[in-house]
Amino acid sequence: MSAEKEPPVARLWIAAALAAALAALLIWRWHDLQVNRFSHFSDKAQKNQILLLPMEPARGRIFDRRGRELAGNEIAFALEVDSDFAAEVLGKMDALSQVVAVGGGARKKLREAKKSSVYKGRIVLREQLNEEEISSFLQWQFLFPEILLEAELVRRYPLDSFAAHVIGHVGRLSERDLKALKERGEKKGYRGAKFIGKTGVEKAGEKALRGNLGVQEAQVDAHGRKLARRVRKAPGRGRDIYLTLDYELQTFAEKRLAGQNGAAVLLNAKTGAVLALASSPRFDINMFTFGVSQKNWSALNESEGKPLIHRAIYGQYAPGSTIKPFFALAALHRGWRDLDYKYVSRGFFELSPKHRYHDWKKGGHGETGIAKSITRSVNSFYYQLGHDVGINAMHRGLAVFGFGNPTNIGLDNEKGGVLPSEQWKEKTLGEKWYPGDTIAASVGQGYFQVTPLQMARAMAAVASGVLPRPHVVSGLEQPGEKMQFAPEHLQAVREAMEAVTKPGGTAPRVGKDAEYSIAGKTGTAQVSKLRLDEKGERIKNENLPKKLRDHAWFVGYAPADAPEVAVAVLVENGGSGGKTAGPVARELLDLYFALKKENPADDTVTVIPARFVIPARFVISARFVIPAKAGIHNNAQLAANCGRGDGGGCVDSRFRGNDKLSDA
Amino acid sequence: MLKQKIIADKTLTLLVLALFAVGLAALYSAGGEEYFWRQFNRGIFGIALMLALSFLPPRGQQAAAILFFAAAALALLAVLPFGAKINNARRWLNFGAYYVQPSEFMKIALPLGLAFFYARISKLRWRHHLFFLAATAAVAALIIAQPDLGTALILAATGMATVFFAGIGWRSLAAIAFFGILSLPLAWLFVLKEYQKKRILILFDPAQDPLGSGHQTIQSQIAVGSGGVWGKGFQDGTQAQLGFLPERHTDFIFAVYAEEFGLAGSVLLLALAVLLCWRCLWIAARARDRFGRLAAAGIASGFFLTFGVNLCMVSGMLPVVGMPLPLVSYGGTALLAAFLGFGAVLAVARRADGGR
Repeated sequence: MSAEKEPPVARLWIAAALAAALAALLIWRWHDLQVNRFSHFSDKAQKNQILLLPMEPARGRIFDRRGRELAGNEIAFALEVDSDFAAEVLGKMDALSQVVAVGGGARKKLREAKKSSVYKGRIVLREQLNEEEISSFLQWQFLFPEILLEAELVRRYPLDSFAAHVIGHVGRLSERDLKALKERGEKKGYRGAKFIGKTGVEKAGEKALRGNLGVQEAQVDAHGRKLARRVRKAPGRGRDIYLTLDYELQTFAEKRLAGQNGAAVLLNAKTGAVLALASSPRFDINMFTFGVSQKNWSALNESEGKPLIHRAIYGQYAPGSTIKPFFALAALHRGWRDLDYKYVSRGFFELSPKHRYHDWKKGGHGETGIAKSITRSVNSFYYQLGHDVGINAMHRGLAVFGFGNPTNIGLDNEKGGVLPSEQWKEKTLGEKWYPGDTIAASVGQGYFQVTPLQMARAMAAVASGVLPRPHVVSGLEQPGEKMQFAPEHLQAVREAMEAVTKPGGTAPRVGKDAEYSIAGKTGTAQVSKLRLDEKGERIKNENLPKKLRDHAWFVGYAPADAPEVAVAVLVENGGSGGKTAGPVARELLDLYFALKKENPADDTVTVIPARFVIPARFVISARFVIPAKAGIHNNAQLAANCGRGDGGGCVDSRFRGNDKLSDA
Repeated sequence: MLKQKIIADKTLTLLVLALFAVGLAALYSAGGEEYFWRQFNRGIFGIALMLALSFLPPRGQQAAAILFFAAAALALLAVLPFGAKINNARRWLNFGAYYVQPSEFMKIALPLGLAFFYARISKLRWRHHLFFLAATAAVAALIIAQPDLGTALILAATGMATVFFAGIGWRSLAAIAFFGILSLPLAWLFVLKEYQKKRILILFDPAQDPLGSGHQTIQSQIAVGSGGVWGKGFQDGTQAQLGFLPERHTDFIFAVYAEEFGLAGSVLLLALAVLLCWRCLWIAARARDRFGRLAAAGIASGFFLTFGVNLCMVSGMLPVVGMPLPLVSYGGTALLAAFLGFGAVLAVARRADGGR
């Protein structure tokens, strides 16, 4: 054994001495705390009857452009218990469930808290109590002194599914949200928060809507129950957001599309303010606030219409013939065709003897110039054009209309569509570009894909000469991009589009008996390629099963002579554009002009009626307690305290800003 | 077989029981009867286990040591992928009704494991020490990954202490200290998470975040300081009883105790811990072989380091880290591990007593 050679005892002595030194250090520290500074800490402990608690700000509301409330707050009541009392409350759960229905999840959480040596904070036993349950609990509350009846503000969407995809929804603050907030350095403002904007404007406008946390002092009793409260710093109410959406137009578009899958977009052709951004089918956003039940979630996801998809900005469809006015404009602008150019349509375009591409009219349209190619939707004109210039030139010519990129409307989940090119195909599919691909692309089929919003914006560009920036939140207007087209080129395409809705065009029914003129273009996005029956004849849409029928497009703007709004309507499996999508666009435009007549001064500028302005002194505490005896009066007390608080009262400066609005 | 004493070392056993009893009193005040009785029952089980362990003969001790070390290491490996996630860290394994924290067992298993291997090397060279230091670092890295920086540091210190007792050269020791200090800025830049840095900064100025991490430090200092010389009296501490102290029955239990029993009670508690540590070192000095010496001394340092760091944290001298007060804080794993450790020291003591 080598143990004798080592110096064990000496080192053990060193360790013993170090332990004594650490002990001495601690005693020195305690002497400082408990003797030297005793009176200081004793005083603090005396005053420490008061806990500082965060106060949830009221979330800003969301209105349509006329001031109709789309998202607001309502008070909901919950039963909570501090995890220190988990064991006691667990023993009373049977009694409690006779007073208020409590789910099994609560028991599980209590049991976990009881077992764990880790402090778990507040445990929520039950949320969203109804009035009956609240009064029943208050009656028996003396049996459950540990259980707190807490009130909180909960998001409420009064119109259920109205503009569901645009408004989005709030949901529970998750670990992932917290992580993202931490990365942005915004976590501090979410102390004690339960909800956060998850999608849509609720997400995009989170920063403004959220507001600032307040701080309140609460006197605490031995149960951790808060008795009296005083506001130290009032929460800064979230800012209200006004959308550019128009309640009437949006409602109409949604109702008109109900029962079908599709989308409708109506936007101000000059400013890009979106008046309607409808997607069908829809869903009730209220069910997301407290988390969707498994049943509802799978119902939403497995439903054939996929209601969660925002078709107007996320749905990507082949533009079909609606691409023609843009392609024509690009051809004129780049000198590929001039205004005198004439093409003779014989009913098909022949890439090779084996590959023939047909016009929709048997035998062809005869002599065709730019105007007729749009008015009569002459495919072979564009086959030839695409074949002559090639896909890459076509890509450059059409890129100025914003195809292939998201419009950055400011909502999450926006798609950019596909403006194909040789490079694109090589990169995404790893395949070579074939001449046949160009032919398909030149009539908006094949790899070409756009969203309805992109289509409406491109239409606005033709109508106004400026590619606008679409937005749904008012106050975010930005100047658009001036188009470089010669006036006579624009004029030619505009006139051709106006003729589309007149007798002799492809959609005469759309323009029939209108008090204003409509410029437009129909389109059909092919869904299935197998369109031939046993005899090799093309099968008519009406004879196909619904799922395989083509998507129908109508895009346009009005009035044709002095454009105000651009429109795009897509009806999935709707067959031909003129028959299904066209009428929707027409009725939407009719309503727009009817509303305008009613209120001539109202030119897409947001009007805030005085009745929607909140009194400046109004403030609501997000969480307050109802002690067993005091009842609900405590809240009134809080509001009264708030006026004389030394933290500058209840109204922060941003909130005072609303006073100005009420003068308007 | 000759008749053996039931209690191998009376002094050590009495000190352990005294410390546990003081802890129970503080727990009764901090958490109420419910927690008291649960901790009490675990304690009875732990004490029985401790006394039973003390009967292990030398060879049995070593076999038990290596098995225990292997089990703790496996559990530590398992906790990373399979552990239950609580408060953003994976520190616990969930066995149905029980949550087990393997890193707590490792505080005992590491000195035992090191002692086992040291006992098998006849001629110690510096490379042996270096290897054991590396092994210690590997175990600590597993715990840092959970993440649990506090426990990892304590564990690293315990392993280093064991290597120190095994006789690592002073020059090697100086080199390690040099590089250790050199690497501190690197650790600040690359190892520490944002919340950990914040806790360190808050130590210097708790007022900068009175609603968050600074809250615990402020409240526990108020509790300790307002205890004065003689304390506010059993169950009369306002800080604890009114709920201003978070985690008052676990990591911050000393604040409850110091508030109610003052400087006098605090010194008494500390004295018990120091004497306990010294008694273990004394047993180590009298151990018959290297295994016994290293096991007893290593366990003693692990115990006292944890104890001291927890007191420093509660007294506002170190940042807030998740670390219980051994034998005092509520929590099954830590309590059981402590009794296991003292059981091992008692077994060593029995052999030191005369080899019967």
